[in-house]
Amino acid sequence: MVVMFLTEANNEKIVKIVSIDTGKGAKQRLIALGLHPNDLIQIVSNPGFGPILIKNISKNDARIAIGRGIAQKIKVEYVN
Amino acid sequence: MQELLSGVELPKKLKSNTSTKTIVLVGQPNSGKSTLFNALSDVKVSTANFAGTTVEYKETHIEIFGEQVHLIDLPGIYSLNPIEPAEFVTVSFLFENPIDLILNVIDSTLITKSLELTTELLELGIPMVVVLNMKDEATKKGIQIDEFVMSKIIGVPVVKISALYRKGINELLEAISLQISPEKTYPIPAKFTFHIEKWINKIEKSIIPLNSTEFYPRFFAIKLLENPSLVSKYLISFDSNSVENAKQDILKHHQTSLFEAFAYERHHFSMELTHKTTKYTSKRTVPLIEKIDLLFLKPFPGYFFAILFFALYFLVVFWVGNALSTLLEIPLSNLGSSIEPLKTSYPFIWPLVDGLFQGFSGALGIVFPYFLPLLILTAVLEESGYMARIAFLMDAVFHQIGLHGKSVASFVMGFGCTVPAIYATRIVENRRDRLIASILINFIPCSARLTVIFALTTALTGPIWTIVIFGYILFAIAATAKVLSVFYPKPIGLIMEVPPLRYPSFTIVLRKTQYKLVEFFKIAFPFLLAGSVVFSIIDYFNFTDFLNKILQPFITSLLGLPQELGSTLVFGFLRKELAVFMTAQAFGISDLKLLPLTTHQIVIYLVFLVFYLPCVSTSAVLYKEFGAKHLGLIILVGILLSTISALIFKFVLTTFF
Repeated sequence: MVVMFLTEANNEKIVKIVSIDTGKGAKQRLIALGLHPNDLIQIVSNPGFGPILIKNISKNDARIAIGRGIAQKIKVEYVN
Repeated sequence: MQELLSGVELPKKLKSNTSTKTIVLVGQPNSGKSTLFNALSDVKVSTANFAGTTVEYKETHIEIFGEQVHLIDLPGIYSLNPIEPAEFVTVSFLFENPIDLILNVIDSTLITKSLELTTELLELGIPMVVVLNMKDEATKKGIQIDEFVMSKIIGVPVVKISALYRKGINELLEAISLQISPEKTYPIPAKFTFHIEKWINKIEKSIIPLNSTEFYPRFFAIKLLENPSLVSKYLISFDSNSVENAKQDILKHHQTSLFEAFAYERHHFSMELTHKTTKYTSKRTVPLIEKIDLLFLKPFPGYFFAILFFALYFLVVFWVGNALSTLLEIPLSNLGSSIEPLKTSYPFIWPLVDGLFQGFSGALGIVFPYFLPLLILTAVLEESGYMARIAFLMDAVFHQIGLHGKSVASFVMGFGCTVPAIYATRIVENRRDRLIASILINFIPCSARLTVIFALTTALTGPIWTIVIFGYILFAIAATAKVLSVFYPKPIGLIMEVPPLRYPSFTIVLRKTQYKLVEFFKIAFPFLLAGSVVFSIIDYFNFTDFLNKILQPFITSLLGLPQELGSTLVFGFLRKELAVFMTAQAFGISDLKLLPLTTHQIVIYLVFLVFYLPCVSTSAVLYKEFGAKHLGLIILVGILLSTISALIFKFVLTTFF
């Protein structure tokens, strides 16, 4: 499977989080919002600029907006 | 109008009264905590401040099956490892006060995510009731939770309710009553893997807490391992060697920091808890509201809707405010003419009576009509979740001016009142972003300034100028932000939950409006009256002339305004809306339509008034939050921006119109 950055994932695709390589603060926040490695997430909106909206399929579709800077430090891979 | 309330410190420590039980509501943001609080409490709600801070919480005293309880609604938290300043406050409250029962409120539609906080709360060892809120929405989404199985696993009652529709409240009250009785049950915390448990057990035995506490020693042991700075101040001594060894050992076995190791363990526990208790029945279909939501969230047509929405927002405020103001004008002017004879019969007390009347009619006839629709619309904006959509959309724009979308909520709040808006920046983790946001929020016209803008433009210039002034304000804020981001580089990223879009509850919107209105009449109203009386007396002794003379070079020569406006700016510093009826008073007229000012002068005056100085309560808050140096900076930026803006308008207006 090809590993890419969250910023490169296309709209409506379902991806698995491979790793979160942000700083400690951002990581702590992502974890508190229920986002962990191996979670399945769906890209709700990635317009190519501004933040990316994802929906955490592993967590009852909880929706989280992630700024591009942080999304560039999250690695994901497509699942089917 | 929380300006004054927040300006005053109300340090308060909970009294430990043995007969009254203390119950706290704890939950993640948007879990419906406040809705439940409203459902449980009657109207006798008071707001108080956390000791030494100005973060507010709501509290009330109610009776549950004959038992007196003190119910406290704490600000939402995602985790007991706080990051934002507001979260720190909730967590320290839990650590520092005797608590008999925790009501953990959960949005059932987000059960898996929410149980991670529950897992942390179980570790505290305080009796709990887990409240699965929004049970109807969960059923609609095909989420079926077996509360009895869950209760068996975690050791405390689990109750399904719908706080909004007041379903399951009786069952909840029974569970609460059980949990504050001697038959109460204690939570069963998650068991971690052997490597971690081994160290917890070792450290737990060595802990001596500062105060005798209801907490499990286990809780302190866990926190010493994952977040030592949070709890070490509550402990007299502990086995620090073991903590250090544990760090090395777990790093070796798990290849992660202790913090991540614990996060992963809890994640695992809560996932398993969901698997054992929750079934998904229906197939996943995207509900209609989510499809509509996409229209608000996608840049196209999201931006279009946002602009439309704000245009509508201000139009409604304008229309409703104007209509209400006209409606109130007749009884107020009748009242005015009925006290008129006092002027000749009691000339000595006349300044007092006149001042009181001016203040009363100004507050009721000018401020209140615009304030009411603003309050209602802001509550709708918050309750529906549309605020989060705006934040999401605006992040791209805000990023350009060196901020991120999270600050948007505080900016929108700024249209209500600057003081709570500055507190709202506490959800921004980083101090640099908070400072910049706070500087800019100052320039957002709060309801007081909006009132002045609406009142003066409606009476004298017409709506075109309202739009021009607003356009300029937005431009000036963006330009200031751009300049500031040169001096304060390095914006940080956005991470924000986007709560589901909901139909705003009528009762909650009314409740919120009611709280704010009561605050307005209790706190701001007397202030307006007093200010007006002082103005009237000063006027009586011709002191305004003195103020006007001092400010004359600036006001008249530089800005080209009549010198009578000088003293209104001084009063505007006390409360911005004082400026508007002070203008009426300064010129000795009863109706704003009679003000002897040209359209150009009104526009220049308004642009200056919006930016020139933070009002006295805002200044107090800024001082408390950022210190004297930064307050000075903010005032300097304000004076510069207001003078430059007024001069630009003067130049453009006199040259081209």
